Amino acid sequence: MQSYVNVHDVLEARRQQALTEQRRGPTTVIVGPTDAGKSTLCKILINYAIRCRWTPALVDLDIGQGSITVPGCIAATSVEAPIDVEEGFPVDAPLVYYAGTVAGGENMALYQHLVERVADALERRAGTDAKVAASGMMVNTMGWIEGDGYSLLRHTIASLAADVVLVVGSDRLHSQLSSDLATSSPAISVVKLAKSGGVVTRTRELRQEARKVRVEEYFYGPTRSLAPASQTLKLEGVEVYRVGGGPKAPPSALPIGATSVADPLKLARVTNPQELLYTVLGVSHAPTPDLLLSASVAGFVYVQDVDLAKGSMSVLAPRPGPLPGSLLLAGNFKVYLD
Amino acid sequence: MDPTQGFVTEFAGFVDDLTTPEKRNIVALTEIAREAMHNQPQAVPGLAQVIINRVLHADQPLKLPALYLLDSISKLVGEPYKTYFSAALPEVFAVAWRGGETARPALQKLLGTWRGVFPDHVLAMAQAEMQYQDHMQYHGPQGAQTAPHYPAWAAPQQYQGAHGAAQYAAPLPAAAAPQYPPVTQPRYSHQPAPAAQHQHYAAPAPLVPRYKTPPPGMCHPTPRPGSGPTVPLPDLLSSLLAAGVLGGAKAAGGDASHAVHRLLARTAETKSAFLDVQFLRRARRGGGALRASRLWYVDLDVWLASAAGAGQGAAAGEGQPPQRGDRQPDARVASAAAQQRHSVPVDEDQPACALSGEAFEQVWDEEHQEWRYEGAVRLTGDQALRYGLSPGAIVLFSALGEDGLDGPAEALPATAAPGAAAKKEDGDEGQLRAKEEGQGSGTKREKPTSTDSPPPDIKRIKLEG
Repeated sequence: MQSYVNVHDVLEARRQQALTEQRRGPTTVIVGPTDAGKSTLCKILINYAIRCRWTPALVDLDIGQGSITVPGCIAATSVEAPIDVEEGFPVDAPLVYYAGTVAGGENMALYQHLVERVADALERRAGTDAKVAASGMMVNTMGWIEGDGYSLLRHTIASLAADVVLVVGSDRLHSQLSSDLATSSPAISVVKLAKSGGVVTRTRELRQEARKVRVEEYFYGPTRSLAPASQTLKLEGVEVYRVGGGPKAPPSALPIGATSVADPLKLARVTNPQELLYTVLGVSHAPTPDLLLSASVAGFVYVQDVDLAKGSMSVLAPRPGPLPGSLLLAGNFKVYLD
Repeated sequence: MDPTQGFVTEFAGFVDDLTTPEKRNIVALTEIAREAMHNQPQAVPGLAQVIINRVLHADQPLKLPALYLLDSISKLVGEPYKTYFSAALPEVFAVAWRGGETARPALQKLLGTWRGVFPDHVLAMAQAEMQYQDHMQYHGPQGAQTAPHYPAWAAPQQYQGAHGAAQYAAPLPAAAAPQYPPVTQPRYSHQPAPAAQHQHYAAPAPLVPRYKTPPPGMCHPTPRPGSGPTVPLPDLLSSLLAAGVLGGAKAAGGDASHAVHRLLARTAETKSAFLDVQFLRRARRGGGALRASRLWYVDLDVWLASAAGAGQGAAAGEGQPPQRGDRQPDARVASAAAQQRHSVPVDEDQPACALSGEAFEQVWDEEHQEWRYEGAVRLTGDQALRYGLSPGAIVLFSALGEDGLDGPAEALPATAAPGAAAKKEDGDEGQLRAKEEGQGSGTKREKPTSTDSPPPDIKRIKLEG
């Protein structure tokens, strides 16, 4: 804990300095393996910053176990009040981009594209107000730190223009990052921190369960105080798209030396609504299909039933009333709500 | 012997008898100390010194009872004893801590209870001392950094016990040379210096020095097999302090606690505002009869606008609550503000406008701490008569038209009453919806401005049901 307070103290000094010099505050990227306490550290540092009257942005790039909204998302939100122990992050007005997958490796191009969208939005946010800019941001990342995961981390650090990288609980990642960043961008401070005390390693099943809980929390609220609404949508009234053009042929099925050339950012209309059953659809703000990947989502609906004969599907929406858009993004993971 | 001295000696006798941490005895001695403060104030420093010496010099098992006595007097009697104790506290604590493993849990607990009793910097020093000891224990003595087993302030007779008395004279004034063993049997090296020693060794000066003179800061005690504790060197501690070894530990601890203090100081300033926000949020949530729903997330433009607002709110240093839900683009904010000027407390008997039949929108009012009908006014006698309503009727300000409260020349009796009755049902449902929205967002998105809004609302309510 002492090291966390010290980190905060340094960040605080940087924020003060940024405010007087009218610059951007520190962008802190927290990296580390899964179950090292990344989100916990993130919460602690955000709360410390809020106590000191800053309004930092929280950016959650952990698409498997995000803490802002449902899994499979990249999201950013301004935090203005301390994070409540019971209710978690205040998630009233986040900016959410839906990747539709819970594994960053499944569509790396999409992940990078969305990270760039968020980075762009944050850049514009910092331009709105000096105090907001000086507050900086706190970025939580995926727990995937090897191989391609490492290159995604490097991409994240570069596109968000990180100033501080906090490495939690991995000596190897720390030395790897410090040597790599020392040459490419020496201004970044790479700091190693011990794991939070009290972290436990979660099993695969526990993670799946946690995803389901996240989806439930989206619709019902963390204390089950929210009232979602079941609705029936006409299939012709909505357009559901999937990114990446469906299942890729495995390399073993291709001629030797050939690789799959499908454009990972290609949008394809979902033709068989049956495959949407028990998935989470993102309701996009995009006015036209070609902007789907660049627009944030207004929320999510959960497909409870698909009735091809009637040409309708019944979904769970967060609130009554018509959906804010008719363009939907499909997710590729299933959740079984009660 | 003056009476004060006698009293102190007597007290010292009692303290020497304190061999177990028995509560009765400690309480009795505490009371003696308390009375002494009133009857013989000049004896107080002496009494405090007696207790301190006891902890410093007594055998290990007897230190803890004395420390408990110190603790008891500090907490129950307080000043002026505390002042005397706190000066010596880090040393006292360090000596007790070094004494052995068995007493450590008790000591740690004791230290925990001293927060608030003794000044923080004193406790921080004691803590640093403790950590330093642990560090030495786990990392082993390393050359010059070895802590002396006994500190500079320990009494000479302690050394005697450890090494057999023969070579040593009885307790002597510090300047006396025989504290050190004969030159022919150099059992350890030590730093040269103090004039007294040079004088002492003046006689064999023509000979080759028989003891090694290590460079300052490099003196190491040579352990004697089976001799137990290392030979104490009073100067070693001061040389360590000078070298920054001991001070370093304290400085590091102090730095971290500064960071904590800065954070706590800032927290103290903002805490009450945040607690207010939390209270209001809970009150707002408790105020609605229906459960709220999650709002749709905002798009990028609105999100950016909200960020700008957040910064200004925080920059002003207000403890303003975070706005739940999406913020409005400027035009909407302006119109909402215009309507907010007219609002009345919720009246359950009048859920809808008496003129137009529109349902009122309920919003939580931070200022008045209550639910209010937004954009509504309560008509007084004259005003109500102009519209053909009974006094006290609540109407939407927008329904009054351009004439405002002064009313039109001709009344509208025919439409008003039946309209209100016919819309009563819709109004009830609309009100619930309004409540739910007010709870969800806190700020108003829009206000139904025409009577054709109820139909979609009813549909939404039914969907929800």
